[in-house]
Amino acid sequence: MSAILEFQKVSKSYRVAKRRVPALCDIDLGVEAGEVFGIVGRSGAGKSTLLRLINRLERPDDGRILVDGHDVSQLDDTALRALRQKIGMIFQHFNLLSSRTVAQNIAFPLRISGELGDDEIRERVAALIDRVGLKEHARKYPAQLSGGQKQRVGIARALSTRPRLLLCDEATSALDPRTTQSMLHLLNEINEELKLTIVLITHEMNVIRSLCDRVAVLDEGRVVETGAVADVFLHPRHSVSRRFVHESEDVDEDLLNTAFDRVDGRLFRLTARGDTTYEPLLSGVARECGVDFCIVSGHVARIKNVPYSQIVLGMKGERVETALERFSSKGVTVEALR
Amino acid sequence: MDFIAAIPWREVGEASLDTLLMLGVSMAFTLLLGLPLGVLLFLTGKRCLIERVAFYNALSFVVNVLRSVPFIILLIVMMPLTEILVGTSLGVPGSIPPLVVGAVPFFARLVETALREIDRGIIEATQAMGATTWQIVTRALIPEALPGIVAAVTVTAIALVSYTAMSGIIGGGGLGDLAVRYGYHRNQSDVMAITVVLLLVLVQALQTFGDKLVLHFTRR
Repeated sequence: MSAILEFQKVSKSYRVAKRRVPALCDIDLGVEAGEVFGIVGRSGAGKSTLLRLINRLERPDDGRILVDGHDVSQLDDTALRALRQKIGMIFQHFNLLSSRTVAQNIAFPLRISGELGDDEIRERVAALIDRVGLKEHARKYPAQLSGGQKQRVGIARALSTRPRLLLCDEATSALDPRTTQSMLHLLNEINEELKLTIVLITHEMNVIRSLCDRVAVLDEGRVVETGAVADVFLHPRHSVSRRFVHESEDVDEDLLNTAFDRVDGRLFRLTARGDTTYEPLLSGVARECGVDFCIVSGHVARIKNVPYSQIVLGMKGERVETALERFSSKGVTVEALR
Repeated sequence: MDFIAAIPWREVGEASLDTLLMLGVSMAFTLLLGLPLGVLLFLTGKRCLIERVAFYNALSFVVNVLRSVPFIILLIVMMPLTEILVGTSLGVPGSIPPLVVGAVPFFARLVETALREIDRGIIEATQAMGATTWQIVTRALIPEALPGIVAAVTVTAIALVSYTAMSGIIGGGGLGDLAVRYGYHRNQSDVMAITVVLLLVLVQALQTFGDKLVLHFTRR
């Protein structure tokens, strides 16, 4: 694996009413070729700026942004355009040309680059329309399409130049939950089929959970946590990350603490990943060690394609420590909360 | 039927043709000069593709000055320049330069406004594809703003109709000239009425045709 994209000590500020307002501070990030990298943050956290630095829609004040080892800030106009032609981008509001049909929109980047002839363009566009499932809509104008269909056009358009990197700017934020799911599914397929690196920004942790391999949590212009999605999700270290995870799981932290207070005995958080998730461990260990437990909170779901369960147990009994050792030996992560 | 017989129909016909000729030629030049000027105003404006605040302000000032000069004054002030440009300040040729100078700033402003209506996201998306500024203008901005630009052409053409009528005062020919000569100098108000009706028909036709065209190009 090699880094296709690197941020080195990148800072950026804006002038607002003659004052400098920092947007990004000291960003260090690396994105590996072929992975789906998510950047999550609230609005105003600087995600949009971060994404736009990659294809130099914005310029950094400081630091370097390397795409395939080339410093983006050093490129002249011609080289910059060549780079942009190899970086696809999709947008929250789709940004399709309303005066062009679906097919013409998808062909647009190819017409701009001028590298292909008419026949080749027609062939490639037809294949892409087919790929995103819009065969019957090729001659329609964007205004005649639903939001999900428009984003499919956006994705096909972004893929038309066969980029190595796809930037997604809140690509599902304007879509309803069901359409969001189908869009995430499509992006996941594309990532696997084409080995296409995807960098996406979002404020929805669920997008990160179902699509990304790694995630960076952005807060007030700083990266507060990065890591594999499963690690950040199941064991968030920073309070901002924890809040994102709780929100996505509909957990109210205060209510949870009240619940903990009402439990007699000790409290443990158990996390199982992969196949362990489906093993009948709880009752078995309880029987063997003679402990009693209650489940205070719990969550069973998937991160990308890996199932996991995470539960908080209140435990009582003589041999609690033995029970915990037994859980650990089965591959369950145990954290003592109290 | 004395009323019909007293009307110099041949002159009415010639004057109508002159008006159409003035309108056609001046509109063509207005498009040719006004569209690039409008695009330039848009591009150099604040937070735009090639932001040049000082240049924009200067250009904008010139446009405003030209737009604030009443057309009748422009006709007179332009006379020496018109003679240099087309050799005469009279007749149809002599009225073309002031018409164009009067219409270009007006049209350019309308084009600038039409371009501003375009979603900035579309410009950003086109930039992200690696388009040159020229490609962004010709392949994204102008096609996207086409309904607005066609509407601007319609409004400008109608303004030009009234300008052509005014240019009759300095011997520019056309329906306005006819109205002044017969209606004012000879007190033949029937001729004046006919010119007014013809101008009205022309304006109505332009508006109807323009609206149809706008609708044709609208895909939103």
